[in-house]
Parts: sequence; C-alpha cells; structure tokens
Amino acid sequence: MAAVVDFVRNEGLLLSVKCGGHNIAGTSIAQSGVTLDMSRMRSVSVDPQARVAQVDPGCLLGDVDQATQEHGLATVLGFVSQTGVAGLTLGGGWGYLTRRFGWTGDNLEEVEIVTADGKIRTANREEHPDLFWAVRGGGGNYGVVTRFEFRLHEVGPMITGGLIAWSAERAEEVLEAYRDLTSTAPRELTAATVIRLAPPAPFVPEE
Amino acid sequence: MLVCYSGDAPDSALAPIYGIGDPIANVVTSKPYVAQQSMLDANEPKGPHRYWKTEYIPELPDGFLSAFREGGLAVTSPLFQGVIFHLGGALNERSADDGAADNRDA
Repeated sequence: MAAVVDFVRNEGLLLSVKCGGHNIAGTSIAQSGVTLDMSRMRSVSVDPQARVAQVDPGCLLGDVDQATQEHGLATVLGFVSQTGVAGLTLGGGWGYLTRRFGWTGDNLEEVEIVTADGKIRTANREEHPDLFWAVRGGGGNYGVVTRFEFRLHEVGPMITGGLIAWSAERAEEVLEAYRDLTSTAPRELTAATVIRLAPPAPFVPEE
Repeated sequence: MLVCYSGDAPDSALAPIYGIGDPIANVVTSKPYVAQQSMLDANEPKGPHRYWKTEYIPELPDGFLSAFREGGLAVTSPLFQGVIFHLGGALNERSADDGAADNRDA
C-alpha cells in the first residue's frame, strides 16, 4: 500500500480507498484515478484480556461484531452489517452503543496508516497525536489506514431489540412520548423514531 | 420506533415505549446483539441511489417535532424514511476538541 501511495503521488493521480463501498457520495471510487480495494483484507483479531481488537481495513461491521461477540464484547459500530468499518470510523461513526461509549472514533485506540509521503506510521494518543485526532472524524483525507485497534466493552451477547410501530394518526402522541424518553432513558437504551410508509414486512398487517 | 436495550432491566427500561400502547406491530424481543446489528441489512440494499440529509441537534423543540411529523406524513414514496436518532450520553462527556468528529452536544 505504501508503494501504491508513492506511485499515485509521483504520477499526480487521485487515490481512493474502497472498504465496504457504502459511501453514498461514491467517494470510494476515484474517477480517472486509482482505487485501493481493501475487500480481501477482512481479518479481526480479538484480545479478550486486554479488551482490544485489531481490525483489517476491509472489514465489514458484521466481521467485527461476530468476532468480538464470541467473547461477549463489542465496540461502537453502525446499523448495517455490510457497512465498511474504515469509512464509518474515519467519519466519526455512531450506533446503538454510542450513548454508552461515544462515537466509534472515541473507541479507536490506534491506527497504522500510510501517509501521503509513503511512510507507514502508527498514530495514537502519544504517537502522532495530531494525526490520530484527525482520523477520529476527519474522514479519509489523512492517509490510508491499514489497521485499526478498537477498545471493546462487555455487551450482550443477548440484548432486547427490534421494531415497534404505531399508525400515522398517532404520530403526535408517539413523538411526545419519544421526546420524554430522550430525557429519561438509561444509556443502555437507544431508541430511534422513524416516520415512513409501512414496509411490506411479514410482521406488519396489510392494511 | 427502532429499539436496542443492552442493560439487564429491559422491562422497566422499555416501559415508557410499551406504555404508548396499541402498536400495530411489535417485534421487540430478546435476541443476539449480532442479530440486532444485521436487522436493517435488507432495508439498505446495495444499488439504489440515495439522497440523505443529516443534522445534529441538542434537543427536540415543538417546531422541529411538528415539521418532522407534517413533512413525514406528506411523503408518498415508500422509499422515504425520516429518522430521529437519540444520541447524548457518553459522547457528551468529552471536550468538543477530542477528535475531529465534534457534535458533542447532540
């Protein structure tokens, strides 16, 4: 990857990094440039004693959740298991565990990153702290991350969750109750209110 | 409402939600965390072109809730979703400058 970064810099080409490929603005593909496709680098290594996970740059959320949940551990990730961990984390990231443990980036302990000069660096709170600050929410602008280290927490493995729905004429009442809930809910509870036409799901009555 | 409770007292934590009463559907249940994490996969398939707008707000004022309700109820597309996601908690406890993500009053 350092060789690729050297090559695109010397040739003056645009470089993009594709992990899950979920960015809706299409930033994972560099138009007329070079795309580094990370999708075959999907290993996760969990240290249950130290409560950290080393995560490859092509991992999807489901790869990490499955590996950490074998030990009853989790870090803060998003809502769709096919999302790439890298883009989610570099953008800040949030999910059902954010109320307990902060942004996804708050749970980042360290990255290995190839910067634009082609050097492979380790960034954490002590080493290159400014670079580490930037990758915790600054997006993919600061280099090619080749390894993420995440802090893990005891979660589950069983939780209580799912969907509950009311008809549209009760929207005002439901929204009032939801607002009350946002001031009383414990951190272990995350609720999102969705307004939409009923999806054709088996658990929704046809009318 | 999309719900995830990861503590050990689900009945009391979820009581304010169940208390709204008479839902048309309720599939909130005990399940593995990994199942919760893939529950929305089918709802977000690869392929469709999307348009999203997102705003972080520190509270839910009356004007916001009525605009959200009236705007959402006027939509006719089955692909539309309006979502209010409750944040707060741990992310509020760090300083605004702790990482580039900011939005710590959300």
